[in-house]
Order: sequence, then C-alpha cells, then structure tokens
Amino acid sequence: MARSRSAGPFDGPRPARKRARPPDSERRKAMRSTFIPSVLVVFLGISCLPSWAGAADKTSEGMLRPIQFIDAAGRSVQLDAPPRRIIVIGRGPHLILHLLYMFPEGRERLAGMEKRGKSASDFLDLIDPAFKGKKSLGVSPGPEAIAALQPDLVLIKGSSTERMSDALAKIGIPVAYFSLETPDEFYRDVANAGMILGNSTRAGEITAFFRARIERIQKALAGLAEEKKPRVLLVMATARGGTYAVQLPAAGWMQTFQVRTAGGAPVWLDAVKKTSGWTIVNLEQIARWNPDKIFVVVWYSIDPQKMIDSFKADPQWRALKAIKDGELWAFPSDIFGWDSPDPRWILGLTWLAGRIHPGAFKDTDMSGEIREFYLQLFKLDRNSVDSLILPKVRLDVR
Amino acid sequence: MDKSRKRSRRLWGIGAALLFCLAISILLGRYPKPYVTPISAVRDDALALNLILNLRIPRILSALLVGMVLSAAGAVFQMIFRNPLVDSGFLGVSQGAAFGASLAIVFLGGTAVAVQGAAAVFAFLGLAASYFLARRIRLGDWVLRLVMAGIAVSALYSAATGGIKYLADPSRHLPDITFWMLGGLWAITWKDVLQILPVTVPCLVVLYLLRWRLNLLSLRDETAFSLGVAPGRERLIMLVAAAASTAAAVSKAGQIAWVGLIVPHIARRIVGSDSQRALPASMLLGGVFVLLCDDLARTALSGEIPLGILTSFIGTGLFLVLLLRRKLEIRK
Repeated sequence: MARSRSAGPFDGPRPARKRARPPDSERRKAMRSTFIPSVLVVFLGISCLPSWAGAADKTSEGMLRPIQFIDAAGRSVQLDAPPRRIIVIGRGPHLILHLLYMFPEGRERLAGMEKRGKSASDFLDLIDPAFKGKKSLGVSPGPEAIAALQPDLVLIKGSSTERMSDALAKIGIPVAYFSLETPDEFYRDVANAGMILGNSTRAGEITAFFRARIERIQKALAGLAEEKKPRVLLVMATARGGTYAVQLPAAGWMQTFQVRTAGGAPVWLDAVKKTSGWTIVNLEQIARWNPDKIFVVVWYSIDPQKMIDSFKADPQWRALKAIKDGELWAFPSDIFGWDSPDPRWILGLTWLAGRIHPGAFKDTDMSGEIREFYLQLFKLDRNSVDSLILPKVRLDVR
Repeated sequence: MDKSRKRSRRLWGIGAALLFCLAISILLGRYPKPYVTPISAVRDDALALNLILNLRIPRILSALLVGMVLSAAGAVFQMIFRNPLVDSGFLGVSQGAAFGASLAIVFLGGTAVAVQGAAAVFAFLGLAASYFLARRIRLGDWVLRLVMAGIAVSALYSAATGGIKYLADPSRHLPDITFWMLGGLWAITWKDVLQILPVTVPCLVVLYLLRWRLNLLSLRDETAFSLGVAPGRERLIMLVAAAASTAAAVSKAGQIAWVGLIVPHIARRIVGSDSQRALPASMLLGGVFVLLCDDLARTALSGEIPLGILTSFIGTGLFLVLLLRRKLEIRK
C-alpha cells in the first residue's frame, strides 16, 4: 500500500526532468532550483483537482478514492476507499478466495471467510502458510458475526438475495456479489476484483491469460464445420448408496461453454434449464442421444477411476457408442475440479479441446499448461507446482 | 378464588419473564465479542450502537411477534378444533404460506409484497381446504377427520413446494426457498418489522379481545348456540385472524415449527385451561420461547443456527417431556 502510494509523486517529475537538459552545469543547477518547486506546486494542484471536481479518482493505485462498479447482482456498489479488510461468505467461498489470491493485494487484504468444510480451501492451505491464520466464520454467519471481524467489504458468491446486503448496509458494511458462473461473468468479476483491490493492471493480465488460451483453441478449430463436431455429453455423477445419479449442466453454465469452445456439439441442451442448475437424466435418454464422447464430472470425494469403472461394468452403459469406442472420460481435477467456475476452468477447457479434437491439439503439453497456469496466476514457482500440484492431478482417467 | 388469583399472578410472572428476556436479549450477540455486548461497547463503539439499534432490536421485536402470533394461532386452532394436536403446521397454514412464498420467489419476482401476499393467500386456502375437506370425510369423529384432512392438504402443499424447488434456479431462487424451510431472523431490519406489524398486531388484538369466547367456541355448536354465541361467524373471525397473522409472521421468518403446538400446552399447564388467561399466557410464553431460541441462534456459533431447527429440537424435547409426564388434553 505504502509503495503504491509513493509511486504517484515520482511519476510526475520524471518526464519533466528528461526534457530539462541544459548545456552547462550552472544553468542546469539554476533550472533545477526553480523547476522542482514549481513541479511540486503543479503536482499538488493536480492532486487536489479531483476533490474540487467531486469525482475523486486518481491515477496512482492505492490512493484513497471512491470505487464504483456493478456487481453480479446488478447492484451499483460504491466504496469510499479501497477496502483493507475483506470477508468472503456464501456458497462455495473457495471460488472467490481463489480469484482474490490471483491478486497480490487479495491475499493481504483477506481478513476472514465462511468455512463450510474443514478448510475454506484445501488449495490455499497448501500454497499460503498465512491462510490458516485468517479468521473463519461458521456456516451462514449472521451480520453480527461478520461485523465482529471489522470488514470494510463483504464479498458474497451468488446473486440470490438482497437480504444480507440490506442487513449489512444498515450497519455501514458494503457488500459485493460475485458470480463466476460463465466466462463473461468471470471476466466481469475479475475486473471488479481489480477495482476493489486497486490493481486493474493485474486484472487485465489475468483476463489476457484466459483470452489468449481461448483464442488459441478457437484458432486451431477455425473453419470446423458443425457436422464435423463430435456429439458430446458432459454429465456430473454422484454415487448415492451404491448407485449413481447422473445430472446435466445448465445451458448457460461453464461446462457447456467448455464443450462448445472445445469444438464439441453438446447433445443435452434441449433437456436442461437455460440459466443455471443441474438436471437429472436417465439412461434411456442418454441411450437415445448415444453420444460420440462422454465426459463425467466426478465429485471430489469419489475416486474417478472407480466411477468410470462402474460405468464400464454396467451392461446398459457398455452398449453406448462412446464406451465401445473408449471415449468415456472422467473430467480432470487437481485439488479442485477443472469444470467448476474456479480459475481452473481454463485448464479444463484446454484438456477438453485435446480430447474432443486430438489431432488439432496433439502438441498441447498439459504439464506445461498446468505449470504456466499456477506460475502466471498464483505466482507459484516450478518446484512448488511439481511438488504440490502435479501429484494431485487426475488427468485422462478412462 | 385463591386458585384464580394464583393463576393470574402466574400470568403476570410470565409477562415479567418476557420483559426480562427482552432486556437481556439486547445485550446478547456476537459483536464486538461472542455472547455478550458490554455496556461500555454500546457507549463507546459507534458500530455496536448502530448494530443494536438497526439490526438487533428489530430482530428481537420480530422474534417476539413471531412467537406471540404462532402460539396464539396454535391455541386458537386447538380450542376451536377441540384437538390438542393441531397447530398451523397441521392444518396446511404453514405449508400453504411456504408454498405461496416459494411461488412468489420463483415466478413473481420475489418482492416483499408478492411473497407476503402469496403466503397469506395460500395459508388461507390451506386452512379452508382442511376445514371443508374434514366436513366431507365420512370416517371417524371431527378431530380425526380434521387431522386427516390437514395431513392431506399439508402433504399436497409440500409436494407442490418440492416441485417449485426442482424448477427453481439454484443460484438465485433456491437459497431463498431453503431459507423458508429452515426459518431465521438474521436479516430482519426495521423495514421488515414495519411490514408485518400492520397485520400481526391487529390480529393479536382481535384474538386477545375475543379470547373469552374461545371457551364457548370449543363447545359443540348446539351448546354454544344455546349460550348465545354465533359459532360459525365467531369461529371464522378467529380463524381468519390466526391464519392472517401466521402468514405474515412466517413470510418474514420462514417455517418456525413446533411453537404453535407446544407453547399453548405449557401455557395451559401454568395458568389453566380458561382461555381468558390461557391465550394471553400462550402469547407471552410464545414470545419468550422464540426470543430465547433466536438469542441462541444468533449467539451460540459464529454461523447462524437456523431458528426453525432450534425450535423443532427444543419443542420436540418439551413435547416428549409433556407426553411422558401427563396426558395431553384440553381441560375444560
């Protein structure tokens, strides 16, 4: 914070100093003695301008200034200054936490979070020793418990209810909703995080990282005719009491976007909700679709290999074309799944494109992609990725 | 005479207990530290004062209103239907309100007016359906028929609510519906209190003013009529007041189970079965019960404990104690 605050005054004089280059030393000395005070006066004047104008925005990052943005709930959020103590609550708090940790300021300013399991994020436990020291709140904390952590901003996953923001607004604590459920929402939430943390440059870098990979895939698949696209089914499977339930993702969700962008033709779109939600599907319907490739998102507590083996052992499933052709895959994961609206979705997309169109992406090195992802986005070094992340990756389970 | 005075004193004692609970509830919470907010914090910490004035006091008032309304409605249902095992949850009122609220959340935009209106309409429909269905059933006595009709209507509403939950958007609507199913007052503000006040307070006043008629309305129609009561009209007034106030309360608090069933029984144990005292005692005790449960929900853990779960746990425990200690009945 202090570093970025001091950056402003030094940004101004530098170009002026370059222009003032006199022929002899005396003249230079005289100019410097009049030039520096005048630059300081001009700089002070400029720095006062925003408050005169009432807009109060400054180019240098970290200085006190109002922040205004539209959050995932469509609410206009206004903050008087960049927040220093941020609390994350709501369902799937790890999704926002992982987003914040892509910013150096995010991990510093995270003051606490709602904890739904033994940890709010097994991944952050692994990469940041200070994460364990962050304050944690129980499931569905009330406004009083949140206020006790003295936050100046509360981030909530989802856009469902205004009730919490109304209650917190009464005691002067602002709330911002994050969604992350589609790429567009992801980009918007990254941009909002950049504004909140006073680091829009980093937000731009993160967005560029994702866009570059999507463009690479789109370029490789350019000109692919619709009829050439394999018919793909992506399902989530959960085991309950020895049987498994199979569900389809909503048409607007990240998983559907991944299949489409990876050059697959999703077969399930007529059978599901448009915006969000999982829809249960039975084998009769799947047999009717009889897709070319099936990808199974397996809940993290279940061994993906066991799940895939159980499908392959089932005589009804065995009759499907995808299984006969060896095209039944478990969707990959490391500590978290690569299909969810977590930053890892870009890894899932890269992998999926290689499995749907192996010929077009035969040069893709997934280990390299994984290293680059954690290096660029979470600033892990190669050794950390190799020792902490790669051993946990479940890739190409079929 | 002595017995009557003793019971009146008990009623005053319950009132005093309620005032005491109200006073201590103001200082119970999680800010600035768990369990108790010190007086010094209220004096020196602007946020503590702000929090108490804008969140804790409206919440306490809501808990009080919800408790009074549900207990009063439970007492009225039990007396009018001459059945010690009915409350708003047994006659389709709570399920109707939950269905109406779910419908409003998913299909009507979820505004406060839509949620409260739909909750009230379907609560009334639930009560009416249970009542008329019981009249049509040709099996058993009135009490059995009413319970059977209530179970059927409640089950129908529960199934319909399940269907709405299935159709609901999981990220936008489902959490709101789930809130309904669990109940809670964590997000109550003055705006919410002011929205339920115009319905609940007049209904409570009507029930309080007509409380002495409940003794007559619990008799058979012929007997009540011979004593100068128009049973049909007066029952309707009391049922409408009970159902409307219940619908308003649960539209904000969600489903708060067992209060309407168990509290009237405890009240009758303390002040006797005469509805002159039993109804106000139910109201006051209901206020104490929900207030204490909400204090626990707010204070015990850093995460809110859903109020409906607490009232169910504690209510079931008390119900079992009553069952094991003495027979449940309406004593006249």
